[in-house]
Amino acid sequence: MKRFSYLILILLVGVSCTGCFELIEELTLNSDGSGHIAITFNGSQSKGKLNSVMKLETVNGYKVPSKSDINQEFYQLKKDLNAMSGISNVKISLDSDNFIYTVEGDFQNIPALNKALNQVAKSSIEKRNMPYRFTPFDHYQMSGRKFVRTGPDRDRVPDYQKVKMDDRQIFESGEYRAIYRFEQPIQSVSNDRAVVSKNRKAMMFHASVKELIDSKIPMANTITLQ
Amino acid sequence: MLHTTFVWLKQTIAVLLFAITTFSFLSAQNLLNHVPNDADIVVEFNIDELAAKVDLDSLGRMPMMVEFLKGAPKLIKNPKNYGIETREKLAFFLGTGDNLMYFGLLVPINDVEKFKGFAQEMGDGWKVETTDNFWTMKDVREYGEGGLTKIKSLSGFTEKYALFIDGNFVKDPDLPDQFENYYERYDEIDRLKGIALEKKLSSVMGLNGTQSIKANPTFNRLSANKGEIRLFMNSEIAMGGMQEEFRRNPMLSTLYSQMEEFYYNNYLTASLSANDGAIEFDIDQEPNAKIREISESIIKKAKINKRFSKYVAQDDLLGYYSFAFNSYNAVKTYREMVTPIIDSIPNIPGGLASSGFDILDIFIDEDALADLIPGDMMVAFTGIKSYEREYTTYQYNDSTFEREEIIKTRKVPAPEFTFMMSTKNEEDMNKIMKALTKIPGSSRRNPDPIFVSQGSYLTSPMIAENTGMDLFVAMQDGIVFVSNNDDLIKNKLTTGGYLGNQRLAKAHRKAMKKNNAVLYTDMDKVLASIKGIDDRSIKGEQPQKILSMLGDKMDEMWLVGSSRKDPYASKMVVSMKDESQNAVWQIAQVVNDIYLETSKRRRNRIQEIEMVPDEEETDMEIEEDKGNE
Repeated sequence: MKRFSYLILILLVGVSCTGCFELIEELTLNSDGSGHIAITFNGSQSKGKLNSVMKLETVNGYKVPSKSDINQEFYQLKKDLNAMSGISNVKISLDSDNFIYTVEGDFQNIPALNKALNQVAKSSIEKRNMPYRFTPFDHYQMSGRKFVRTGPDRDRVPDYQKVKMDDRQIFESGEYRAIYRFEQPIQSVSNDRAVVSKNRKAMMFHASVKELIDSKIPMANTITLQ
Repeated sequence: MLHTTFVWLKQTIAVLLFAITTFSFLSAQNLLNHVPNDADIVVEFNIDELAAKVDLDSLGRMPMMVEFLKGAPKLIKNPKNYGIETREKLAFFLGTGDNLMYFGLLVPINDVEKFKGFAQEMGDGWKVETTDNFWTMKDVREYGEGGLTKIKSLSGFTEKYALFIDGNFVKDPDLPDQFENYYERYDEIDRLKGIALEKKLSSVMGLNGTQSIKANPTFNRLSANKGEIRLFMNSEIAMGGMQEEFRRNPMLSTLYSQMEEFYYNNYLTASLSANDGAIEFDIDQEPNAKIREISESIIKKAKINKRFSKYVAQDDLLGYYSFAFNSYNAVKTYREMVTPIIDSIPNIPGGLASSGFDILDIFIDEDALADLIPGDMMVAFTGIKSYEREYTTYQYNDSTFEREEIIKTRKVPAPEFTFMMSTKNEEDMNKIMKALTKIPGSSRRNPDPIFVSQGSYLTSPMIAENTGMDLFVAMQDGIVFVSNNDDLIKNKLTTGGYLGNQRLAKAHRKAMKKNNAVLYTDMDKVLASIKGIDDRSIKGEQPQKILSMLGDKMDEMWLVGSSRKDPYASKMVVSMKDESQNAVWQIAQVVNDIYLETSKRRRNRIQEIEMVPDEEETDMEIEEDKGNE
């Protein structure tokens, strides 16, 4: 989900300035491999700053989009995702007053989800002519009773060093949370930072974006189901 | 050009550093006799005067200075080894002429043989040559084929002083077609620059006393005040150097002749004195008739409203800025000044702008405007407050990790401020304030107007929603207030402000009475307020320590300008808490302490990294151990 979250950040880079944000990735996996995913960007903690930044023309060299521009981007994203094979029921929830944006939808299987996420990230980077290299990869893998959340590939790290200092501050001021829910109970999780819910059917991972970027905390996680 | 200026600045700092950190004996000599009369800017560093006040040897041994000079060139590190006198006066000047913008640094010499020895020590390319009445020392490098050379470093010297010179062409010289290649072109420009600088060096070294800046009566009159650093700027010559740049642009060239009268015969001097407990910085301007006329109409008759002081609490004061200008005269003068300049812009832009002004002029009543806003204002800071801001986040059910939206609050620091502006027309100002309550807000959640009336003042629910801060707009006593200080707005305005002993102290009232502009900062209180901010980045051990170090030393900062007595003089004073020690010494000490504190952290981190054994190294050690067994 790193690429997708990256896309959300790119969409809001013009208004992110130096405030804090929360990025929540929720995935529910059915036993047949299909499921539901929801990505939420919550900039509510920084709404004062964001409202001020919205009055500017540019920030960090990027054109600041208006609230309607941002909404328009999400409508387009919804349209694009709905047109992708294996993705359906895409919905968006836009709270421009509090800067909370959610995109959610159903997927037929994990490969379809990976393909959709890669496509969205690629077109977003290309459309904005951003100086970041795009390499598609599998964000999630499912094999037997093992569900794998892939961590950031080491090749991306040099790219991150090229990101402007001002932009890095935007990414590093955020919090990332991933919640995965399953029909079967969880037997074990490989990531020390991940916690399993009391009903053992959900797992939550929480870290600051800075910790993830600095590789202080690994993002990769293998969840073994019973 | 910016890059060159930066390089010069770096060189100047380096020279200053070597000057104040190296021991040598004193000898008398006035280097200003060797500064050309037509220099744009002259800076005199009176290291001898500073040495009389500050223990420069101890200052030079401070770890931060030692570290700073580590990578410096030999000549800067150990100037006394090369016969350079560093405890006397140094002079720096900037000049323009012959398509060259150049700078010169004059230093006294006490042993010419040692100075010549520097070239011998440097070896390849360095040479000393003899001319009729001085020597030159230069570093000449070969480039390309056929023995072509260019000068990398150039100085001229006698037995008494040395002049280091460098510079750049104002405009690249026109070159024949054979220099189309980029590298060849710039090699040739460098070669020509070397020739031009040699010529300039020769002319400056050949100056006699009557051709020097010391023969300039304006310079002598304006540079009479004492100070460790003295600056003199002749804006006529400085701007003259830009003539070529202006002329290249057709639009700017028409403006140039109009602007000429503003800088013609206009001089500025500044001096810096390091005293016990305070650093004083004086700026004096000797304006020409035009500037004098403008200043007198805009500034001289303006006064800062003395009633402002009633509404600022002395005990809470962090700092303020107050100023006054005559808005009626300012508008008039601006129109008089700008109209001919705009009219002189060729073709459509100038004509359009000028006619636009003429039409606007029909509708604008300057008298009414000046009545509404006479032109005196003040912004005062009286604390750092924490505002609670609401935000949306989530809480998670332990059993399923289902999330639920919750509203939380967090504290955000912001300064407590009061902006005040005089008005002579409360009736019309009231109309404007009423109009503010009719402007609708843009928030979907809160479609109310941006400002709402609360009887004697206005508040902004929209700003409160976005920032957590209550912002008030009010009018009282012929003053318009914009403030986030609710106690002032709700309780003090209607009761005539703060009580006599609580309001702005006499020293401030006196400064505001005597000057047109006053800037004041209570550095001690500002640092203490920052220290108290409830924020992770401030609450850390190191930031708290650094803030305490600064707070223990720094006291106040005053900047006053355009006094009734002398409208062309400004003075800045940075005062320290300890009045018994020289301020430069105290500042150097605190900077050094901060350097040690931050480098201690860096060193610890480096040590931590070094303590982790390198994988390859560990393997090798194991192999060696095995071998020993």
